Amino acid sequence: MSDSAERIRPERSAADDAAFKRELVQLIPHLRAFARTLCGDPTAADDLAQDAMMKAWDARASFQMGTNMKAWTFMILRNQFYSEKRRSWRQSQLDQEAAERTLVAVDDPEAPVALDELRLGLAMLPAEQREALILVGAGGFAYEEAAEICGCAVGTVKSRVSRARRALHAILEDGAYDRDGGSAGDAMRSILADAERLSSVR
Amino acid sequence: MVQKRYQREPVPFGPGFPHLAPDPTGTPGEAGALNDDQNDKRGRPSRERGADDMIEQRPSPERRKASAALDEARLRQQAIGVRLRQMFDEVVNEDVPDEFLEILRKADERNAGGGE
Repeated sequence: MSDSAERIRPERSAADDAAFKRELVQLIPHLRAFARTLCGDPTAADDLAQDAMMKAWDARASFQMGTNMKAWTFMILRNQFYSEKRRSWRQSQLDQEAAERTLVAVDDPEAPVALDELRLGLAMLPAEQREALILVGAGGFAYEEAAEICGCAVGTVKSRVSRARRALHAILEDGAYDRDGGSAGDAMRSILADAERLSSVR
Repeated sequence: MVQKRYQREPVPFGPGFPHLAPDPTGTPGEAGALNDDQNDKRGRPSRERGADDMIEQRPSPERRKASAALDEARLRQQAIGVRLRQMFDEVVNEDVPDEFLEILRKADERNAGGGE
C-alpha cells in the first residue's frame, strides 16, 4: 500500500518539509503537555516528547498536510510511551512514583494547592481512564479523535471519560489521595474556590 | 511494528472527521462529556425527567434538596474540568526548551545534506 502511495506521490519538496516543520514546531508545547501527563516526571516527559517529535519528522512523508497533525503526533507519542513502558517492565510501580514526582515537579511556589491534588488524583486513575480524560477534557479532542489516538472504539473512550470523571470526583471528595495533613474534602473545596475565581475573571 | 502506524494513509482524520480543524482550544467533546455525566448523576432518563419537571408545579423541600445536590455535583464536575485544562495549559504555556528546536534543526540539515 505504501509502495503505491510512494509512486503516486511526487517527490517531497523543501517547501513541504518547511511547512511540515512549521506545524510540528507549533505542536511541541502540546506534545510536552501530553507527555507530562503520561510520564509525570518532566525530564522523562521531555525525552518522550522529543522522541515523538523526531518520529513524526522521520515519518513526515506519510502525513498528509491539511489533516489533523495534532492528533497524529499525539498518537505517535502515545505509541512511543507504551512501547517504552513495555520494555522497561516498570508499569506497576509507575503510577505511584509518577504521583510523587509530579508533586515535586511543581516548581512554581504560587501554584495553587488544588492542582497538586488533582495531579495526585489523576495518578490514581487507571492509565486508560487517565489518558481518555486528559485528551477529551484538557487536550481539546473530540471523542472520535481520542478514540483514534488511543486505538479503541468511540464508545470505549466515552465510558472511560465518564468513569474517570466520577472516580476523580470521588477521590478528590474523599481526600483518598492520601496526602499527609490534608483532611477529607479539602481538595474539592480548594478546587471549587479556584474555579469560581477563574470563572469570575472571565 | 510501530512504523506501520505512521504509514497508514490519513483516512482516519479525513472526511469522517469534518470537525477536525486544528483548533487546540476548541473542546468539542467537552460539552458532551459533561452532559453525559449530569444525566448519570440524575439517575433517570432525561425524557422522564423532563415530563416530571413539567407536572410538578410547587417544589417540595425534598425536591429542592435534590436539585441543589444536582447543581452541586454539576458545579464540581465543571470545576474539575477547569482544573484539568489549567493543568494541561500550564505546560503548554511553558517556554519550549531550546533542545527541541535544536534537534529538529539538525535533523532538517541532515536531510537537506543527504538529499544532494
